[in-house]
Amino acid sequence: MMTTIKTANWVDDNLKEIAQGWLATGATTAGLWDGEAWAWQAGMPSARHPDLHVPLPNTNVMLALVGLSDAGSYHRLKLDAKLLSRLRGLESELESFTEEFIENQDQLLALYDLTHAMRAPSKLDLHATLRTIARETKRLVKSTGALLFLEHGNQHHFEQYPPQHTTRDEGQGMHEAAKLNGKHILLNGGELPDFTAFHSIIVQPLPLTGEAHGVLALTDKRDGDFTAADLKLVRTIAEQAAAQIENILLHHEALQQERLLTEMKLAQQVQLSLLPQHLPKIAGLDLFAMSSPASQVGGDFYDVMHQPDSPFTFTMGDIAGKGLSAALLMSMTKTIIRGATHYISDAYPGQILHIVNDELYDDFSEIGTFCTVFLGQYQPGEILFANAGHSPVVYCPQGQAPQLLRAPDIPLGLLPGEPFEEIVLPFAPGDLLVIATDGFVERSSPDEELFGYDRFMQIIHTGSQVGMTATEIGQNILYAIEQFADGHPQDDDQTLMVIRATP
Amino acid sequence: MNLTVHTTEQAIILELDGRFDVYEAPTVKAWFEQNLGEKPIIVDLGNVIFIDSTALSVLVNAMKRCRQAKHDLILCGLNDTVIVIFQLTRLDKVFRVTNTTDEALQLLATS
Repeated sequence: MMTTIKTANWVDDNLKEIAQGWLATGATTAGLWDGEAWAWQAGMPSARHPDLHVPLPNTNVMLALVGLSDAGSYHRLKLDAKLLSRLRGLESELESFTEEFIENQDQLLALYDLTHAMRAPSKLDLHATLRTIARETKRLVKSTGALLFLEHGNQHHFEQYPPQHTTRDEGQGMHEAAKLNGKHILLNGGELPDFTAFHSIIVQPLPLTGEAHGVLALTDKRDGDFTAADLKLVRTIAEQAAAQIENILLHHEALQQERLLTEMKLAQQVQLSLLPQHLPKIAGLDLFAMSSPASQVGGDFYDVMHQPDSPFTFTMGDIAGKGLSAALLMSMTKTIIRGATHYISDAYPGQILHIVNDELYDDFSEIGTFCTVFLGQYQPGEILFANAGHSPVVYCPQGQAPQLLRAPDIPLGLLPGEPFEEIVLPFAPGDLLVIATDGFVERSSPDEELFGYDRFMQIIHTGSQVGMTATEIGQNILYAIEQFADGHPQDDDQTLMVIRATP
Repeated sequence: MNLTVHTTEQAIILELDGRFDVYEAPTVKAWFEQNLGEKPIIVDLGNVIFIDSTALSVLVNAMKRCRQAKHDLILCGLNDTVIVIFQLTRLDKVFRVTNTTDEALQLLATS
């Protein structure tokens, strides 16, 4: 490539020294000759055509001498030209390396500044971080404004520096434009569409992974246009910013998960702490009871109450819904049942449920849920019970098929002032009463089949026919349900009580 | 789970499709909060394959609030399993239940 170089460029110390060398060797004039005139001379001024001249590679001037014309000098002169050119090349390379190095240093410093600013107290606050990034980027790239627009899930975040520089909509517009473009946008001067007030912009997509998308945008470069170097800097900042933003988003997600886990754990603890620690020994009865909460606690409870001169009272219930509020309502319900049973002398099951319903109606309405409760009292030979919507309740008299008992009354918390009736169940030796919560019949297999009432009753029937104890029947039910579920997890609490009149 | 809404002069018909359980309940609850109070509501459970107690509590709550606003909430299209659940828990005493949406509309017309 022929470069028309301003002669002044070539007249540096290297050339001057070479010229002096030639003068010392015997030339009278040494310098640069462009083919018609001398562009530069050292030694005696002369307008003569040079005696010797060699071209300087890649230029239109020649290294020339007056006063020497031998072959040896010509050879030396050629070598000088070559060396001069090579030296020139190396100097130019060095200059460009230095420029790049300085640019890199600048970028490193900018990044350092940025990370330092981001490490400030607000490091996990998304908006404070976005503001810092905007502010630092504007400063480092020397624009009049900088903004960040972030889309995460169904939320949008927007921050800019200086505040009020432009609108959120403009930021969103740039984000959408970058999405359409598929990569960064750099526009200067006349390239911008008329509707925007800016004369130059850079819109750099943030390299985020996952569901988050966004841009870092610079508006109106000060003193000129945005350059490729500016873009490179913005890209580097964008990478750093994206890493920090991802950190924050992950952190928030982790916090939320933790909160959920804590709530679940608390609910489970409430549930477990309220279960009866042991079953009393009741003459004429063989008892088994258990409750296993699901990971998302579902408000199951059971209780047994036995006081001197009072019939053995047992109850089971299920608050509709899940989580901490179900667990708390469960504990309230259980407590009020216990209170009513203990403190009202000769209370009938229906009476107790009526009182509990009235006491809790407002709370259930407030939370918007209801509660099923089975409450039974045992006297030798019979069980007197009231049942507010609870199921499954299976009654299996000795030698007969099991019956699924339909609740006579609606669940608690639905209508105030409801009356609850009592039903008498004959309970002779060998008879079985099994009460459970719907976590059993609704347990599902990997094929999404439900365990169902039929299987449930079948196990009870077999247990009755073979004369199994309450515990044996209970264990069988538990075993069968785990076999059926075959690893599919428990969605709902499972609570079970087996009462058998000892033969 | 999918929610499809039809509005007639008499009522708003909400068709639910899929599993109605603790995970889907919040969506339905939110829909009720936005749409209760102006007209009676018919909830078509014809395509609901599974319903749990959280879902029931959403329906119960919606029904109570509808009645407070002097409108009714009628359930229709219950499949056999759901009917059994309703009968065992006596929720059949609490809700008005019909087989089809048309029957529900007729019920509204005559009451």
